[in-house]
Parts: sequence; C-alpha cells; structure tokens
Amino acid sequence: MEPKIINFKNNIDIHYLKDNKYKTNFISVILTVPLNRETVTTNALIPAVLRRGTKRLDSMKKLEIEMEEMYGASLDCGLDKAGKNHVLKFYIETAKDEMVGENLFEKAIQNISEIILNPYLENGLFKEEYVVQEKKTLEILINDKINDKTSYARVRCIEEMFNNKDYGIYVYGYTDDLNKITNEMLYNQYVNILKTAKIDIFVYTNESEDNVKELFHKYFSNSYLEERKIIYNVENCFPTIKEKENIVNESLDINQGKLVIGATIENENEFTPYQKTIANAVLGVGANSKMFRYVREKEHLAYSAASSYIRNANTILIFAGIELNNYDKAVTVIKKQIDNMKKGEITAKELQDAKSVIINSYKTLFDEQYRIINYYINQCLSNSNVNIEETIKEIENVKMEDVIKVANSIKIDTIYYLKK
Amino acid sequence: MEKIENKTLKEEIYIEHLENGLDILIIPKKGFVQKSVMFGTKFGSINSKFKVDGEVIEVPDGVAHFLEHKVFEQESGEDALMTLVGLGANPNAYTTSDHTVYFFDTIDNFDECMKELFDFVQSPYFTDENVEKEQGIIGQEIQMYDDHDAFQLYITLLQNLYVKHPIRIDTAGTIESISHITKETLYTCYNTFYDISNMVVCICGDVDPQEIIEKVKGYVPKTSEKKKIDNIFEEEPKEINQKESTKYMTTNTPLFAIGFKDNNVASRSPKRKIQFDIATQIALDLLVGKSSDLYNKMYNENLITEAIETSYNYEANYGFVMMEGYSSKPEEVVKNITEKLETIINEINEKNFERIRKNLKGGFLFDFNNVPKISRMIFADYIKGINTLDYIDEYDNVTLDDVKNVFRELMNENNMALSYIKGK
Repeated sequence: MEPKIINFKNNIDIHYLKDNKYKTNFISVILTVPLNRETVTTNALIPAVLRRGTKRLDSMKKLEIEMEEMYGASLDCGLDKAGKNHVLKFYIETAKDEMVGENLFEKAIQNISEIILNPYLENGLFKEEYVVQEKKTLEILINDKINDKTSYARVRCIEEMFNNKDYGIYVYGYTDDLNKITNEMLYNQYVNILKTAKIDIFVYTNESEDNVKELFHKYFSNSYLEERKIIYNVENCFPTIKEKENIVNESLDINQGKLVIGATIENENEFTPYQKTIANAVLGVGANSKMFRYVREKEHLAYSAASSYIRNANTILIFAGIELNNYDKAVTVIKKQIDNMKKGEITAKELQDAKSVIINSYKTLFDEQYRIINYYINQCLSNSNVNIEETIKEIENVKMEDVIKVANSIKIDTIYYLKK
Repeated sequence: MEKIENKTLKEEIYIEHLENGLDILIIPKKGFVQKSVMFGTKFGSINSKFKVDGEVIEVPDGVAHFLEHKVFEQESGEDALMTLVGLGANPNAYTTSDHTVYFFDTIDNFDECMKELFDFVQSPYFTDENVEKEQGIIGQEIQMYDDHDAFQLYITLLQNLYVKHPIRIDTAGTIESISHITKETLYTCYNTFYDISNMVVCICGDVDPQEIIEKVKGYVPKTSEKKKIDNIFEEEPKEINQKESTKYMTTNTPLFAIGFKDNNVASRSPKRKIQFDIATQIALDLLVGKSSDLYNKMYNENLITEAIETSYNYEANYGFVMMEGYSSKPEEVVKNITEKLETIINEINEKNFERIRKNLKGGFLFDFNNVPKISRMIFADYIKGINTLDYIDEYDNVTLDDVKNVFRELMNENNMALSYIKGK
C-alpha cells in the first residue's frame, strides 16, 4: 500500500491513501523548514499561537466547541525534528461521514486549512494576548523537560553528541530566545514558513480522490502560497567529531540512574538504512536483542534496556535504567555487546529474530491509520520513496556480513549518565 | 455460542462458555491483518488475600505481577517471550488490579503462536534461582516508577482516598514485599487462580469465530475441578483516608490531582455502571473539559498549560474519579475547581450536555480502529461484568439529571482527596 501523490499546487503535494476499514478519516499537514538556533524557538511558538483561534473561530473555546459538535474530532499540532529540519505537524481526525450521518470530512478540511492559513489576526498581527500566553506556556514546556528523567537523559545525550547544533537543537527551543521574539518577528516568520516550507498533505480516507482535491482547492488557499520557493535540508546530519569518548555525568536527586550511550555509524554511505536498522535491532530492539538478553535477563542490570536508530541523524541511542552504583558494570556489559557484534558473535537466530521484530512492526502499519501516515511522512522527509512492501523485502535481504560490517562502523560518541 | 451485535457501531462479539469454565470472546475485524490473542486470569494486584477449599491464604503485595513475569520462563530454559518474538509476534503481558493477561499480536504464524501462548501459560516452572533473579529486575522496575512523577501522583492519590482497599498498593508491590515471595508462594497462587475455570480468552482480528473456538478447545483441558475462590477484602470505610498530601521529587512544574471516591459501585447493575461511567465522563468534560469556561479561564491566566486529564475508573468493588495536571500554582487550580463544583449544577444545560455527549460518543468510535486496543478493552470490561458494545447505545440513555447526580453523589467534598508533587 502506498499513497498516490497528487501535485496540488505550487510545490504542495497531497499524499492520498484510500481505505474503508477504519471508522475515521485522518488528515495531516506537514510543514518542513531548516532547523537552526535562530528560528527554532519562533517556529515552536507558531503552531501554539495558530491553535488559539482562526478568523472564523477566534478563540480556543470556539474551536473546541466546533470539535465537540463534530463528534469529538481531534485537532492538534506538534513539533518534530528530521535531520537538520524542523517539522511543524498539524492533524485532524474525525469519524467517517457514514458513521454519524453528517458531513464531517469537509469540516475537517476546512478547520485544518483555517488553522494553518487563516489565523485570527488583529491589525495584521497575531493577537497580542495569545502570543504572550503561548510564550509563557512554551517557557514552562521547555523548563519541564527534566520532569521525565528518561526522555531528559536522551535529549541531553543528543545535545552533547551534536554539540547543541543541527539535530542537537532542542525541538521546543530555548527560554533565552523566547523573550526576544516580538509579535512582528513571529508573524514574519509565519509568512516566511508559508512561502518557503516544504508542505505535504496526507489524507487517509474512504472519500474519493476528486472529492479530496476539490475540498482542498476550496479551503487550502492563502496568497502567501502563490509564489513559493522551498528551502529545507535534504542531507543527513552527523554528531560533531570528538577525539575520544565524551563522558558526561549529571546529577539530579533521583532513585534510578539513566544511562544513555550515543553512537554514530562511520562510513554511513557504505550501508543501506535497512542494514543499519537490523544492526541496531540485533543490539537493542525486542526481547531477543543483546541488550534485553544480556543487560536485563543475564546480568539483571536493568528493567529497561534497549537501543534505537535515528536514521536522519545517523545515530544509535542505547538506553538502560540502572541501579545507581552499577554504572561501571553496565557500561562494560553494553560495550561488550557491541564488541561481540564487531567480532561477528551474532547467531543466525539473533539475526532472524531482529529481522522478524522489525518486519512485524512494518506489517502492523497496515492496520494503523496514524502509523501508516507517519511512515510515509518519514519517507517523504528522508527523500525516499520506498513503499512498505519494498521496505520489508529490503529488510529480509539483509545478510549477516552486512550487520557485522555495520557493527564495525559503530563508534561510541557520548556516554551520558544521569545519577543522584 | 452467543452473539452480541451493535448495528450503530457495526461490530459484534461472540461468546462461548466451555464446559471446563473457560470463557472465550471473539471480535471479528474484517480486512485487518493483525490478530490479537489474550489469555488471562481473574487475578490482579488487589487479590492478595483469598479463601480456597476452606483455607484462607494471604500472600505478599505484588505477587500477581511477579507471577506474570515468571510465567514466561520455561523448564527447557527457553523464555516464551523470545519464542513468540522468534515467530514474528509482538508478545507481552500485564497485570492490573483485577486481572493478569498474556497476549500476542501477530500477522504470521498464527497457529504456532496460539500453541505457544496456551502452552507456556499452562506450564509454570518456578525455581528458587529464577525467583531471586526476578527480584532484581522487578526491583529496577519499582525504582523506575519511584522517579516517575505522574505515577507517584496517581499512587499517592489512591493512598489518600483509600484506607484499607488494596487498590492503594502499587501493582508491583514494594522491594520489601517482593523479597518475601518464594517459589512456593508462586505455585500456590498459580494453582489457585490459573485454573482454566478462572480464565478468559479474547481474540480479535479477521477470524472465523466457530473455527477459532475449536482451535482453543484443543489447547485447554476438557474438564476442571472448578475451585471456588473467594477474594477477601477488609471492609473499606466510606470516608477517605487523608485529605491531602505533598510529595517532593526532582521535577520542575508541580503536579496536582483531585480524586473522588465512589462508594456505590457494587450496588449498581452492569447497565447502571455504564450509564454512571458515561455521566461521569460528561460531568468531567463540563467541569474542566477544553470547551469549559473554567479551563479557558485558567489557560488564559497561564495557571495551566495543557488539558486537565480526567478519568473515572471502576471495577467490581471500587471506583474513583481523578483529575490531574501540571501547574506552577497547583493550589490555585484546585481552589478554582472546588469552587466551580459548588455552582456547576445550576450552570449546565441541555445544550452543553448534548454537545459533550456527541463528543464522547464519537470518540468511542475511534477506539474501534485498532485490533490490539479492541481486545484489551473488551477483555478488561468482561472481567468487570460489562459488555463494551453496550456503551454505544447507553450514550443515548444518559440524561442531564444523571450528570447532576454525579456531581451530587460522587463529586462532593466528603469524597474528595488531593495529591501534589512538587520540586525538591
């Protein structure tokens, strides 16, 4: 299954997926712009301010009432990073028209279009009150990054690896920069995004292609969309080069230590993303991975022990939540797992299980509207156009020698430890 | 085989009661590639004191969850979790307050996965050594939750609401309580609660109900002794345990939770339970939902920065409402909400009520998009004597008076407790 790509207008594509098995229609609009320290905080503030009101529904309360009238439609926005890009995501999910006997699909397209393109303005700028409140909200959100210790440790490790640049930039921005943002700057950046962002619309529905096109022509329009020149970063990014392992210790008053080892894959162009995905899976995805079997089950060092591969940042992030005095042992055991992979100590079963975990997770995409859209968003942001069936085939074809070669290119960049 | 159908929702459930006492629930989902199979027992974290064959047995807190971890281990040295992963499935297990369930979701090798699931759950292998190993792993799991602010908020609220009821105890127990678990404890609980007559199977996916029931029959014993198990609970006073508490952790913005203890769950029929649940959800949305005056006022004042999470949880003999969120001034949020509770009955009207009902009814449809989610939801409801499909029609039967009654009966000062988490 893959979306039909419809060139909608001015470098904006509609990625159209049709299916009748869900009870809902799902629409997502993605705006991709370069990620840098100068604009990250402003960009982070924009969806939050847009979410406050449109020309037609000028407050959050009115918007919420509209969503409730639409049988609990969910309209929201979010931020993400893809390599050196900042991604602004908007989505709306509604019950299918036939389930409730009302025309919700059109209203969904109208609302998501208005949120992005027809914000509530006063004197040509965003409403001052909304901007002030959302700045405060964003400040709290940024400061709250320490609340979840596990994700905080991951964020900190990534910041260290990338030296706070590129992928190391915090997705919600920085409180220091927040105060410098004026209402004018915010609105100018909003216009700039409409003129330069890579814009992709994903629609997963049982409605016809003609209907989708017609409704987007009707609602998704704004004069800033007329002349567009897309600016975004196609290339991947890499951790800053370090002479030796970067050891970072930080203390908070906590009960369990959070160990995050950030590694990079050298000579990355010699390998396919599939080979890297499987090498990472052998190390730390699922119950048959080396992390789970050795760090958790054999050495009893952790309850959570896993690793993840971040494609656009050429990074493998290894995580373990450990007893505070087990740091040395945990680092030794984890390094040993990587060394064993380098030496080729991977059983045929480990390889097969890693493949089946990954293949299974791809196959389940066929049952989940939201995840299938995310898969194609990621394809789109990686400048790749491989459908799920082809991805599965590529994964099946990964060989033992490929995984060993990838393992030999894994280089530990940063060892981050959050302790008491 | 009994068939329950809901035409609005376009879903059906088939139920079969086998002679050995096992109940099988099937929810066919045409066109979906995943199949989800759950095999579980009516044994959860609150069942630590029970009477079986005339003997009263008390076991350490956390034993149901401990058992859940250990059931995967096989005499052959194989771990069933890994065997299922090897077959391409996504297997796991969890323990709630009133049940423990083992499951897999899979696309391939369905029959092999079924065989493995029924095999491993029915062949326990506990040793002193593997029990000791698990004490270490679960100890790390408990410590992970010790650092988890939202979990600490939840558990301290329950401790404030309840005096005796074991819902106030963490599912995993404590490092101290699990240190008393031995292989004998595990066998005692296993032999009592994992008897086939105390278990339930729930299957969701593109399957033929009759065919699948025949398959399940092949994996379970034909007969059972059908032991009579009486769970013993100390009587819970109507009063709450403690009005409020504050716990200090490494956190930035403080957290608040407001809870209300529902003393009348056991007296309601299954239909009334569903109606009460829906009425409570509507009441909560009218009070602090995103379209409420109060939410918008507090958001505009930067008192809160995101939605207040609300929930109503109920099982056979307990129920509680919880509202939780982050705020730099948590006491002020609580004051705003408690003041609103005094006037809200006079402020709500049919128009708001209808809109929120529509909102929740639509949201319920979203839950039927996902095979694993459907099986989890139907399994949990079945254990508490509820047919999930009944919800869709009961949305229409709930009245504004039911909602007002929730405010009077449940969300009043006498049933209320507070919990705060603040930075050290």
